[in-house]
Amino acid sequence: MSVIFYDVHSDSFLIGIGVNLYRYANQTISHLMACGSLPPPPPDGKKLPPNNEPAFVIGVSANSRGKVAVVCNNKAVEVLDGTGRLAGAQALKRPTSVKITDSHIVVSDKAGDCYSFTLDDLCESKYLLGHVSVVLDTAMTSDHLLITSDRDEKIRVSRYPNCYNIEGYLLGHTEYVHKILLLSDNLLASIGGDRKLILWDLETYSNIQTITSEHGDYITMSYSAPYLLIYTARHITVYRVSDDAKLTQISETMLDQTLVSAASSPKQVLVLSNKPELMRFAFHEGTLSDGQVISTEDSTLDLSEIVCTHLPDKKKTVDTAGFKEYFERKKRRIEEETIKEEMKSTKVS
Amino acid sequence: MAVAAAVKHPKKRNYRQRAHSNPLSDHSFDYPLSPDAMDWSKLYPRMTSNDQIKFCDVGCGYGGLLVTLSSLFPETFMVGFEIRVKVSDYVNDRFLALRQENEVYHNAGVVRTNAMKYLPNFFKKGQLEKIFILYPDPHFKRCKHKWRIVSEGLLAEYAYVLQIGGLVYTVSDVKEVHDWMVKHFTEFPLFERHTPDENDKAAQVLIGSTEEGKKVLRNKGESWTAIFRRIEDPCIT
Repeated sequence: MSVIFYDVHSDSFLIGIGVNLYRYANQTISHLMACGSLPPPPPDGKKLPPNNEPAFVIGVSANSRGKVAVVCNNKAVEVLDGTGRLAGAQALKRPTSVKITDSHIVVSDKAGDCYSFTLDDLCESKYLLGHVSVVLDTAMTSDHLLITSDRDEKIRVSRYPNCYNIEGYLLGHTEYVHKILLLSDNLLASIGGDRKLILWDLETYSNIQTITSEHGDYITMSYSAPYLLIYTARHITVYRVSDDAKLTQISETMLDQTLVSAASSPKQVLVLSNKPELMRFAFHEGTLSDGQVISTEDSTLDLSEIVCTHLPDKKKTVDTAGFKEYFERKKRRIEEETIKEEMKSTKVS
Repeated sequence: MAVAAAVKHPKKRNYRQRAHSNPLSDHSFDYPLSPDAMDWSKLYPRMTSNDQIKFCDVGCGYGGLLVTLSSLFPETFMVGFEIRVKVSDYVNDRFLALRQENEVYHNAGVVRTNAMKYLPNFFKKGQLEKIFILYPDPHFKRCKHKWRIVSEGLLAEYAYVLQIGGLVYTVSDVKEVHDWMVKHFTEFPLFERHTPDENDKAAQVLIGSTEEGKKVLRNKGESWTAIFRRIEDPCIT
């Protein structure tokens, strides 16, 4: 997938397209680096099998000290800052998301596990927690909680870094939960394959509000206080989050192209479409206006490698355990046995 | 001529099933959205609103342990989780028959579900007093290790549904599996190895009450038990 991430610390957008990472600030695009180059294999020589899939950026995260972490589909985990690439490491499995703090990087993967790496050199990796299914997204509060969402409809809230200690679960989605976003240390928004947007209270572990999509599957969301922006394939819906955590719809914008990824800052919304095009909208008091295509004529930005958004598979409803069939056979067997017994007892009497 | 029908107990031969089931795939289970949404009264007609399930037998098989525990702890509600369709149906029928015959056994039942995935859907934080993991499927091959019911990731979930001071009872007739469970539990910060005191009725029936256990005894094999206690988090953030 292609990714856009708004870095609130530097007031710029980080855009991952294919293997390239760009920064968009002050209406200029600069190429930061090509990601996905792996460190040399470890001395015990377990070589990676050749991967025919092109490398691309999966997730981006930035901290307040100007450091940016990137994870790619070929298991590369990298840290960079204004001067360039600082360190790289290899994740055990294909990563699904990354979060960076002042001292660590937390990576979730398709095996359902989360690891942390020390920030400076990415050398030490520590196992944090494991879900039974793929972990699709992560979020970290400033008061030591790591929140993880998975394909089995669960959102798990664990302490951090002692993630073996589960604080609670936020249960309510009926399909995979592919994006979670902290609106504050006590408020979490989540979107899932059940086309629901749920707002959660992290103190009471309760569902404050549920909104159902009117425009198909949710793709992603972003938060620029006090506005929560929800993106579907052709629509951007903006909600205002009130002080008492209620969502009120402020505006809805329809796009004439299919959205692949998007992010928002207090003043702009950036949208990547599969045309492919990068568009910029002015964002003021919850409304988008003045949509413009960002030109790639000076060719810093290479949009040719846009990878379409890939949402997880929904649950199969196939009865793989042969449930129905078993009960039908059992019913027939009991009927036959009852008939036999009745015949026996009539014979006897 | 009307004759009172004798209560029919289920016969195992009608419930034959392959021993292994993939716990990682999406079988079509019924499970509640959350513990509050679970209607236990269907399984336990005598459960009141003040009652809660306190014991869980993870992978209860043909229900042997539950039958024994049910009469040892008549005031406690307990449930067995079993992933295999026919086996869980056998246990269900077994308890239906037992309840018809006796005044007891109304405090135990079975749910067909995947304990690896849905434990937190059924139980609230710190709800359970005891968890039983008896003769778990060894899943010997390395590629099947992730199907094992005891793993570092799952221990966090067992710790979550268990109250502080609650106990996990494990038994296996495969030394490697016993060692694996002991290693994982003792290395996990929220559990410590526990020696049961002589009043622990549950500890005494671990081997003799299950079908697996009885088979092991018949074949003069060995079973290893290990009990663990849920402790407070040693790390404070």
